[in-house]
Amino acid sequence: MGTLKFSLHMLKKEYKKSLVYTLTLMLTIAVTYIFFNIIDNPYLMEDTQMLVSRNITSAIPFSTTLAFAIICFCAFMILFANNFYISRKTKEIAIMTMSGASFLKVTAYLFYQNVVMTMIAMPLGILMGMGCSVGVNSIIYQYLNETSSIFYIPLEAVGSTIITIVVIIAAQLLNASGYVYRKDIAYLLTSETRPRAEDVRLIRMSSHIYWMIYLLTFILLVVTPYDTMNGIVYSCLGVFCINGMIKYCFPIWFHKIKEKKLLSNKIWLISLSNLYYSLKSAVNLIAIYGISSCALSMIMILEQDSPREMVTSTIGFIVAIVLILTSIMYKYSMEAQTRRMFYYNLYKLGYTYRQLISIIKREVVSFYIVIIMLPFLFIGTSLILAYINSYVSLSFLIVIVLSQWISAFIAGIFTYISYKNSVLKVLKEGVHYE
Amino acid sequence: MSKEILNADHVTKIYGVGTKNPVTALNDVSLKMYEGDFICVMGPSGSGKSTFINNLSTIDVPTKGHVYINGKEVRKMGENEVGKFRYENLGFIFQEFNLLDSLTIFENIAVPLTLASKSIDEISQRVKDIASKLELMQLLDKYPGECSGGQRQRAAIARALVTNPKLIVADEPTGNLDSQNSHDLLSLFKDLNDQDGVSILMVTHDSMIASYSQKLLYIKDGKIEETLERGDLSQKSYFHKIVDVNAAESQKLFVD
Repeated sequence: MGTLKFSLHMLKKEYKKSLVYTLTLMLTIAVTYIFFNIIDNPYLMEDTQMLVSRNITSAIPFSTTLAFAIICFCAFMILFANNFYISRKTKEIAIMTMSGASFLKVTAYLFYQNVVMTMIAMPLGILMGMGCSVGVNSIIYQYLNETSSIFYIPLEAVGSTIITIVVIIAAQLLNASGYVYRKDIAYLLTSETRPRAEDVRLIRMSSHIYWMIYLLTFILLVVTPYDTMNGIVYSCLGVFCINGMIKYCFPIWFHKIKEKKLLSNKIWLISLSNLYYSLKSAVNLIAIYGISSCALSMIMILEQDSPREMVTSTIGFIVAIVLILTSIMYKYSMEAQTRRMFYYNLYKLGYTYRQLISIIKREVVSFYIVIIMLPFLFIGTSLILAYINSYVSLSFLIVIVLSQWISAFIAGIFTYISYKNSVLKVLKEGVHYE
Repeated sequence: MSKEILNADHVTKIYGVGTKNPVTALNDVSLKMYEGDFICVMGPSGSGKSTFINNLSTIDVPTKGHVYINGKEVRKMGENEVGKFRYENLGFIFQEFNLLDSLTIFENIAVPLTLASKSIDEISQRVKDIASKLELMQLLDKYPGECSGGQRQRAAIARALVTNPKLIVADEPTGNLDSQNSHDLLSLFKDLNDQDGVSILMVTHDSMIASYSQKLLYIKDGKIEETLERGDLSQKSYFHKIVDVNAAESQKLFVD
């Protein structure tokens, strides 16, 4: 079988993995297009023209900078999704190499699969982006009193989106090929099931530092007179500690809770252990979720009087939440597929099907509560303080709160269904050793 | 006479019923197991050994035939009852250890006691007792991924023994162990069987390991081809008989 045929065959065979990645790619392309539209659509450039007319030629509207930042964020999300996608394919790459495939053939194999998925995701993503841009245009036009057609499509935005995505995919492909080239077959064969990396910090701070900073910044946010800039600084500082808290504080806390309270609780003992595992494996995404949702919420509070900035940051907020939650869901579902034997072993030990479902349910619910609550402590408090100090309206506060919780709720439901189907199917279909 | 604990009555297991290619993994197999039995199951790869012990130990349900546990048919037991039977009476040990990666060694050993709704104090005490017996005290706070193969197998044994099970079900328990660890494990099994009356049902490929048992079942193509009783034989003579059974099967494969 030729490389092209084999890569297409595997793509079809492993369609579940490819489908989620393609959907993530499509969504990211749509978002990239929306923000290129904000940058390139001349009818949305009133601020710049005003500044130019006032001879402030070097000024770039904040919304353009923000749009650019979000495009960079999209690039990162594609890199992340692709990286994770490739990390789940190491076994088949190892088998190809073992069967005599050269480095070039492996690269071609990855290239063909990426081309197919990009060819599907690109037009769909751009179409989706165009559809969403109509809504974005209508909202910003309304604020700017602009009467041009909301269906205007800036060709530069289409071109920029295509070029950006192609460059990112090509860069990622090179990176993946380099990874395959550097690693030997034995490593590739076992990398999917390899235990998590050890603590590789250069400076090993006490785990207390993380939660103390988190708590201290929260106290400062509450006790100091509210000011939007203060809010941004304290919140971002606090949310920066999420990564450290999950990695270094949670294991200690969870261990203590299990030892003192949950050792005799058959459901929570397992749920909490798995919860830590899931949080740890998605820790970077969780931190990005916390930082971006917090930063964008603060920008929205700050830009209440600038319609274009406000709309851009609002869209950015929604996009960041949707994209990161989708990525978290994707990673969680992929990880869940590796836990079949784990649940099968629990079943062998005497857990019933219903108990296993309870374990999954509690783990998933706790997971989403943790990832929402860690940044929400700051976001929610800042919103309440901003509302008390008349910076934002009550409806704005409610919309931001609901958008976070509802999106997490939906992500939780999808994760639960996918997780349950991945791990418990084996119990219904009979015994198959892996 | 010892009490009957397991009775497999004309058990057949077919995978993929209703599909184009159903596979008969077990074909009309019967076995009675009594308290204090030490039965070993041997046979070529794919002969149905694991399916056999899975069906006997309630992990799988036969397509035809019946499995009785303490006189009660498994199919007629509720899910909770089967689960309870497992954590109260069975100790599983497998080649791949099957420890739970996200739990520490301590928690792994504790799981069957947690399932049996024991108090935290009792769980801690019993885990520590078995861990000290199996020289696992230094490993209790580690995760399975941080332990060697031998250490993980000892942890799996501790988990299987912590509830003082009446029956140990072991599927290739020495498959990933070196000869010293294998010998230690089988000596432990022998002690449990001789002194505490624990019944053992074990699958192995190794004739030496099989020679620790009292009875050998040789399975081929889903059927029990031969049954060997140790009786009054020495372990060495029994071992030779087991080798003969295996060799006879292998010799049938020669064309000339």
